[in-house]
Amino acid sequence: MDFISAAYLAFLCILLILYYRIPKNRQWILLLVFGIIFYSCFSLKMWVFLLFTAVTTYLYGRFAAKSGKWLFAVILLNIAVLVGLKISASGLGIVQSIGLDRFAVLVPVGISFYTLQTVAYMVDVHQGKIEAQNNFFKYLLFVTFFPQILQGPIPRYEELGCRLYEGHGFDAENVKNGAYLILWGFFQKMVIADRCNIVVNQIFANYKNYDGLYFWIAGILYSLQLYTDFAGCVSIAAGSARTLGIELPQNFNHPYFATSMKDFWRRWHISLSRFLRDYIYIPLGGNRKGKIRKWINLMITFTVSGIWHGIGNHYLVWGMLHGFYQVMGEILFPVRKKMMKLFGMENGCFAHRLFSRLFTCFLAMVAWIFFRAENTSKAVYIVAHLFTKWNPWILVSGQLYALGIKEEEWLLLIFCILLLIVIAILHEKGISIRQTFEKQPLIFRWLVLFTAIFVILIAGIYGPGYDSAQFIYGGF
Amino acid sequence: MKKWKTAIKIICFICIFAALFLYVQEMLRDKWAEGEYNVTTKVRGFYAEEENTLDVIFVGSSQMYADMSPAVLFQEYGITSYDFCANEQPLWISYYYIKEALKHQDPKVIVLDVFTIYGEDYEEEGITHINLDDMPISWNKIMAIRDSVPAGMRYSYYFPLAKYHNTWTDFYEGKARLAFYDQADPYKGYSPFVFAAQYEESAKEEVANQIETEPIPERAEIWLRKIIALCQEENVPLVLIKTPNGNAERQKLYNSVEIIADETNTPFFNMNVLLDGQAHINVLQAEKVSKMMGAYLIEHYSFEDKRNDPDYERWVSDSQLFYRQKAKCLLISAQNYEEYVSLLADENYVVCISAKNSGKTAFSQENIAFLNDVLGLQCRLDEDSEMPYAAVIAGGEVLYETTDGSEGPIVVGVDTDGLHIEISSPGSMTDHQSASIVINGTDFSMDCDGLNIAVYDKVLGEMFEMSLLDVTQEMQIIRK
Repeated sequence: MDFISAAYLAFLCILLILYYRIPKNRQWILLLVFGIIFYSCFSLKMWVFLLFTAVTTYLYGRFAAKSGKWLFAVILLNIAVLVGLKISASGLGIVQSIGLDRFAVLVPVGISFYTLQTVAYMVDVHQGKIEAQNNFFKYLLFVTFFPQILQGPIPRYEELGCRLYEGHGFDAENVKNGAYLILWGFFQKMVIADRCNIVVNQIFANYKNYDGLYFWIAGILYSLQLYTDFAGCVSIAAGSARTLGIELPQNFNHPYFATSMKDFWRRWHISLSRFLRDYIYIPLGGNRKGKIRKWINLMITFTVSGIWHGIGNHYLVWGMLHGFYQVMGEILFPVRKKMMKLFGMENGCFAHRLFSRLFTCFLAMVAWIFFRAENTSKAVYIVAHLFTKWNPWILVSGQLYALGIKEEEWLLLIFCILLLIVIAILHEKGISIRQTFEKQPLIFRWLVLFTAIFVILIAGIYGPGYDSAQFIYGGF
Repeated sequence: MKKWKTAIKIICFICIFAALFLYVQEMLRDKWAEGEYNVTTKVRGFYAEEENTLDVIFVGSSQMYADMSPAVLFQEYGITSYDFCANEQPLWISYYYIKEALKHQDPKVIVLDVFTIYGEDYEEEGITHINLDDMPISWNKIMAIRDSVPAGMRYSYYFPLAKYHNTWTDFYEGKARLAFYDQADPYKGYSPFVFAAQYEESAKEEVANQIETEPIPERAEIWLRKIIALCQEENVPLVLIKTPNGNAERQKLYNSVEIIADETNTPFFNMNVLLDGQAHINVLQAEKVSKMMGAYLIEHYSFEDKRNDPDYERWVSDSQLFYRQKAKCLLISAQNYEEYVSLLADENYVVCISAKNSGKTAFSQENIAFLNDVLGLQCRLDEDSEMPYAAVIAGGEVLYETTDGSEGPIVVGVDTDGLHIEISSPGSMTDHQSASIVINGTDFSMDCDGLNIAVYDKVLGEMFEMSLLDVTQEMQIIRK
């Protein structure tokens, strides 16, 4: 069941009606049942892997956590399943030659997310941060909670567990705020991300036919697509959970407003960054064992992040590139300081922030090109050709309209990008749009809501004739 | 109290959303209202007909609505009928069209064209949309969607916004104007195909003598039998027909239909073996087909003649449209000068003439005399071939005519029937002047040597003819 479907909205509505009608102490059972239905809509076979992970990690938490004997074995077992299934789906030559590709179709939805989630659970139980869950079905609900199983965020047991089981009374504010988040998610995914996808696909699929500014456009739009796609899905997930009275952790904080790559990773996929920091970087020694070791740890952590995203050398390069950015950021810090002094630029002034943000966006964009390209050589070709041709006339000659979207759609896209920027600026300044919106008269609020709904229904990319892109992070 | 307030708000929100949704959906939905394939006006027009006023309902594809003129059936036999058809309509949709027809009308006969008996699978998406989008939502429509569209694709038929929302970039006034269209169709579902064509007196030999049969695809046969059963259940006589399309290959399938018809005691009137035709025949041949159909119906069923019934007065004026289309077809098909000029003498025309003669070729006395005689003109181009000459004839009356020789080119302005006509005629002085017939700002002249003619039909409200009686080629008719 796709989030972007009337079926999902109907599913959620039915759940809400039942959820607030049954006793609070039974609500978790209903969530589990609906989680099972939701997950079963993708494929029944996927349950084999999900149950394997749920049973092994539950048993570890219940019976072996104190001794810690089996921790690495269980982690390795589950990681092996994840990596094995990912390799089988990678289409690599070696996979085909040994016949592993026959399992390709079985890669369970959300496996990357629930594997990390359960690994974190086991480590936390082992370290005594949390108590192990005794009831297997309650634990299964933690693993299969439907709003976040597809694309995260990756919540910790201490954040999500008790919220799932405690029961919630009906609160119109929660339902309303959840609905706003769902609407915002639909808007980001259907109006922005899937529209960008058309242009990005056109240029990446026929990259030999393009050059110069086309690649800048593809890079910028892909950066935007990835953000709105992922943030859109997370917004729908958070909104769905909110309607049930459950708060999911924040996963994005305007990442393209970051002033450095370090800052970027504090704002992008926050729950994954936190996992990598707490369960890989810090256990490796973090920054406690000298500079060189810290840099090595950073490289290892981001390389793992690359592998987690997918099997393929371009993912690996993407991860390593981010590690490289972090290391270089530290090495070049004194140089940067001197440069600022040379140009008389004060730290934190508008020009400095603007330049830092643009440069960070550029670095992220280059990395995303590796992420998007099917292989490294294609990515290198595109990055190299960002600078080989100066063709700004394509912006006014009408050639952009041959990239799959019409003039009116470009205007809409530009308007949406401006809207995203304005919203991000307001958030950065600490202004709550939702609170301001709630203070407005009912007629105004409804006018805005109906406009938003119909913009999505009219300008969204969906329906026959469109092969609406699946959520990008659903594939990880 | 707070709970009630919240509940009322939710209900209001849902109601406003539903109303806006239906409005936006209807605005953006593709409509088919232009040209001959104007299914929207035909289908919506059917629902605008007064209930229980139709004797005969014709169901089928475009071959039916191009061939069967309810105007002819009314004028010739006093039968009221409607072509409740849509493009390439598969039989599984015809079934539901008949169900819908029986919901609103109490016909004495249902006539089904079996053209789409070849259908063995779901039709392509566009055709199904054309057939179903204009049908108002009802249980029949829901069932029609279920039987016509593969599962997984049906939502865009229940909610066409899913299909058409992306047309917002091409939104135009005409589309909005046709939203919630509820006008009756004066042609009663018929489409006049106006073009010149030559048809044989009877069907071509290879069609008439086709005796082979071809198995009917299973899906089509199932639905044909369902239609027969439905009409039997509803106690409405069903006549299967095949309008003439001149297709000898498809005749094999029609021969197989005959077997099913015999088996189920359903009359099958195969005009394909009686008359010459093509996919979409012109108005002149359609009149022939309609007369033949009318004669068949009159022979086998009894109808009350409604021609003099005051309740059906509107049918009299509406049916005139068909005969105007026929006149138009005759004019554009005319091959010689005498025939053409005779057809111009029509009270419903505004005829504009502008002469040009850069080659100073003489107009024959005989031709000009015929022109004057038939159209009531006093043209003297036979005496002075080089003189400028213009004329405007409306409703059989000459509104303007150049009667005397002029020193230079003439420019005249005439207002009639809502038209502002400006004609210039250079005669032989063509250096600084062209022959133009500007009507409401558009030039309809061919600007060649001879009599440049533009014709406007007052009843149809359209300019349809731009021609030249070429003086250099013995007044041969040249058309644009």
